[in-house]
Amino acid sequence: MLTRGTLIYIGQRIVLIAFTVLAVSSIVFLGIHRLPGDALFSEHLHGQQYELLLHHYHLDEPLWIQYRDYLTGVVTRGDLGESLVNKGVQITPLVLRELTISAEVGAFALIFTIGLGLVLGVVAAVRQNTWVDYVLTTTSVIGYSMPNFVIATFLLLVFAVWLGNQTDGAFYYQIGGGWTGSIGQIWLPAFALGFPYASIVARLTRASMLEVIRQDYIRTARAKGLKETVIMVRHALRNALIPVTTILGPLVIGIITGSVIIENIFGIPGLGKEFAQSILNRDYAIVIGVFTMYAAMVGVANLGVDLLYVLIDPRIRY
Amino acid sequence: MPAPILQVRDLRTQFLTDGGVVTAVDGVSFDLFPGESLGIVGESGSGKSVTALSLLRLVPDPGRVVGGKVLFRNQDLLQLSDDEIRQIRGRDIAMIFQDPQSSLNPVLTTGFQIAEAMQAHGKAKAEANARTVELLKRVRIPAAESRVKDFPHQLSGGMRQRAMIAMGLANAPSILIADEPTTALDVTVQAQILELLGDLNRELGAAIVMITHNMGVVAGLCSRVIVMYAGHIVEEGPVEEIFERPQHPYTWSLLRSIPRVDALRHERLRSIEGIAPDLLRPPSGCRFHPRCPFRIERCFTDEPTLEEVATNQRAACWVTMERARREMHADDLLDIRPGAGSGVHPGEQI
Amino acid sequence: MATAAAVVAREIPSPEQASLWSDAWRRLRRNRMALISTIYLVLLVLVALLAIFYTPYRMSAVGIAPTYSGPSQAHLLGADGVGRDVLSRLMIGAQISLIVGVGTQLLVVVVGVTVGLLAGYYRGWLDSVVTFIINVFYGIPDLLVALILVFLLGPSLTNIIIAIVVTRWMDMARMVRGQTLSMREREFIEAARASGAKPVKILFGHILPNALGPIIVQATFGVPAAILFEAFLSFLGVGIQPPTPSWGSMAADGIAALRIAPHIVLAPSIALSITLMAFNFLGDGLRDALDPRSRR
Repeated sequence: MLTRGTLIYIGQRIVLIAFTVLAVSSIVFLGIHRLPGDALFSEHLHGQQYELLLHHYHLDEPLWIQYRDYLTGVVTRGDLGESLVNKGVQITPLVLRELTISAEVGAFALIFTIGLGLVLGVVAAVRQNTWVDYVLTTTSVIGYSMPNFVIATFLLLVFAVWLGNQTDGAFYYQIGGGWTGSIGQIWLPAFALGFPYASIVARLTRASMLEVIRQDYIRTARAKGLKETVIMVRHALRNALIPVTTILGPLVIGIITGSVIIENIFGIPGLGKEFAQSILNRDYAIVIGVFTMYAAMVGVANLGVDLLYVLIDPRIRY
Repeated sequence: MPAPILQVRDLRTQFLTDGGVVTAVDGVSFDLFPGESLGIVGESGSGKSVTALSLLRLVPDPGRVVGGKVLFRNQDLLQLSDDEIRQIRGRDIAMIFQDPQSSLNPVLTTGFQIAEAMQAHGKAKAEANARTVELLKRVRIPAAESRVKDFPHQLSGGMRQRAMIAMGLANAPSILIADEPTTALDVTVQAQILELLGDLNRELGAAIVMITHNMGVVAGLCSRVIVMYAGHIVEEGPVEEIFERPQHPYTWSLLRSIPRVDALRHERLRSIEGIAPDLLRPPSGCRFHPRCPFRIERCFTDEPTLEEVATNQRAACWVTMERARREMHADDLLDIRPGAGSGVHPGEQI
Repeated sequence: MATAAAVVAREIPSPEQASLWSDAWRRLRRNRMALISTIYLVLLVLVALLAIFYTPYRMSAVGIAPTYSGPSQAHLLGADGVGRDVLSRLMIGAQISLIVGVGTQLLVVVVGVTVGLLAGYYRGWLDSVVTFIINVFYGIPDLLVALILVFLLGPSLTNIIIAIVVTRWMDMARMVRGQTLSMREREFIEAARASGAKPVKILFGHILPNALGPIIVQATFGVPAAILFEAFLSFLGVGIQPPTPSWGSMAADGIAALRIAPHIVLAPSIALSITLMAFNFLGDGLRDALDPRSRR
């Protein structure tokens, strides 16, 4: 599977990703730093104190020096700088720690999304034009029409408020509570993150399955006397997965985006919560750092999708 | 004559389309004898492929087998449960298809797809794998041991069709249905595949049902032939008889449309005039009459049934070629437009 | 939207086109979900229009009802945490959502169609540049870019619309480019070119009318996406600024009081979900109606 060509391809892609990440990071850096009123903004600081802070963050230097220093820091040491709000907090370790939390929730959401989407899509396709299909296709529109914060709210309402006393502590969101890190708590936010996308995966799988079921090789499989479940899973689904794989890139982007809201609602101290918080706190340095991280994640996810194609479709070689 | 292995009686298959009901196979009956090689010939839309698919209940939506019997070993295949018919498919009756490119699953190895056919009918995995190599050798695929791991896209068109045939033979079926197995292939490869099928038919004793639009294929492989037109059987009989003395004008026209290198006269190759009938609104009387050079008035109104025209040969025609030769000088006819040889001309009636 | 298709039908001269549109209209009317959605959206527009002149209470009037009080006769949807009437705020929120949704899509159509037509018709370096930009945009989380943009430009209705257009024009441009590419090789375009028609005439007189169906469908799907963007931004507090309500910010405000007054978060959440759903059902219906081949 891992031929020489594939390895070269992966290498090229990683270089490309690195450059993309740097470009995105630069654009955000330059965009933010040419803002009027400096990058450092605070009503409480005056005079010398303010000057000192400016100097501490090298914000009194010309923009191109700041940019050069920033870029050198990122490239040579992976250093994203220091938080503008919480002085002394280094961004790179902070962001990496939060990334592991977000990745855990995101991975659950991804598994949930793909699993549920595939199952529903296959069922709808196999039962095409029956009430099952009709109900599933209609609910899938409802599914991707519900903003994730609405789903999160409903989940909280049901599990935290109405069933609250029995499941106290069984979800992230507690007033005054916080991260406790147990797997058992992960499925509520994962569900809220993944549900809209599960509907999209389901729709895509259904369409793709319907296309595949009409193919000649499915007829061949039937003529061989294979069991219907074997035909659907081994022969139809394998092929139906090929177009579905395309959506994995946007899916990862969607889960990253969704996490900005969901982590806030459920009080998960991950990258998304940090991003939203930093925007509201006007902590530009963290905004740039988190966004850089996001660009890298999307790049790696897209590379993963391309490699997945190779696994699913033997006709594809790089 | 031995007892037939497959008896088809009054088979009817319909397609429910937006435009209405199309009866693609309309009252087809025939026998298949053990080890024989039967050709079913007709234009596209004649119902020959749907007939083949109906036997194993593989007709795609919106098609339905609506009547008749398919008797195999004293059981009606049309009455079996889904699981019982599944047991028959691939084990007793196997089928291979027109386009090996699209008929093989692109994401599974060729060897796996052949072995799978055996595992579906109870063979152990190791045994199936070993026999797969054997089968590939049998259908003359070179370097069979390494080819089992190849995906379909790595094989040539001819090799793919050989692999399909190997798949069909995997469980040593008593009947092999081949639906236009050579149409999608190069001419030279076509001949090889036909030769292979012929050899297998002789060596393994499996009965072959060859579905084709090509009279040449029938001549090369089959001992008996059924000619279909617009969902009906219009003629059937031994290949020599049919080629020598076709009795249905349609069969006659089909044979005249084969290019012949040994043609004595400098004659033009004739295709059949007119277009295949619209099965949503089939013609009245004999379905071939709008295109028939020898039609008489009765053809417009009455539907002919299959009648014995010679020993073992039957045709569904009010005129038959014997009379057409005698009375309408069929063999001298250069103009084969509808009604040309008869006293009835287009526009005269109906 | 459905009536828009009917109006367009009358403007198209060729009989073949006219029957296409009237066929589409007939198919759309048969689609029950699309029809229900259209009725809902018409009502929503009426409510939004009504809100210009009349709301039960002033949307920013504080303390007109007991804080966190539930639905009552005087306040049909209850009051929020500072005693404002939820129904009145919901009506203004409908205005905001519709302005953002329809407003962005109008701009997206203008930008996307122009870029797509030009790139698809002239190809060459222009097409390469456009394709590159589109691909770059696809590689980054669009919503977060919009978030940063609004944050940089400052939160206001106009800036929100600009930010959404900047991050959402590519789908339309890509689709129109594809349509143009395939259509410029077709006989009737070749014929028009051969007879000396100017590019502008070919683009807007021949290609655009033929791509109108997919454009309408794409724009219809774009509306709920834009509304969702706005709700997302406002939910995070960088969108529509108080005291003007948005469904997103109303939901965010309500979430803290989820335990004691769930109606505050439920009202905008349900309104938002149903509106997005209606646009999506309508989009599905339009797609099936305008492109029958895409069914199943």
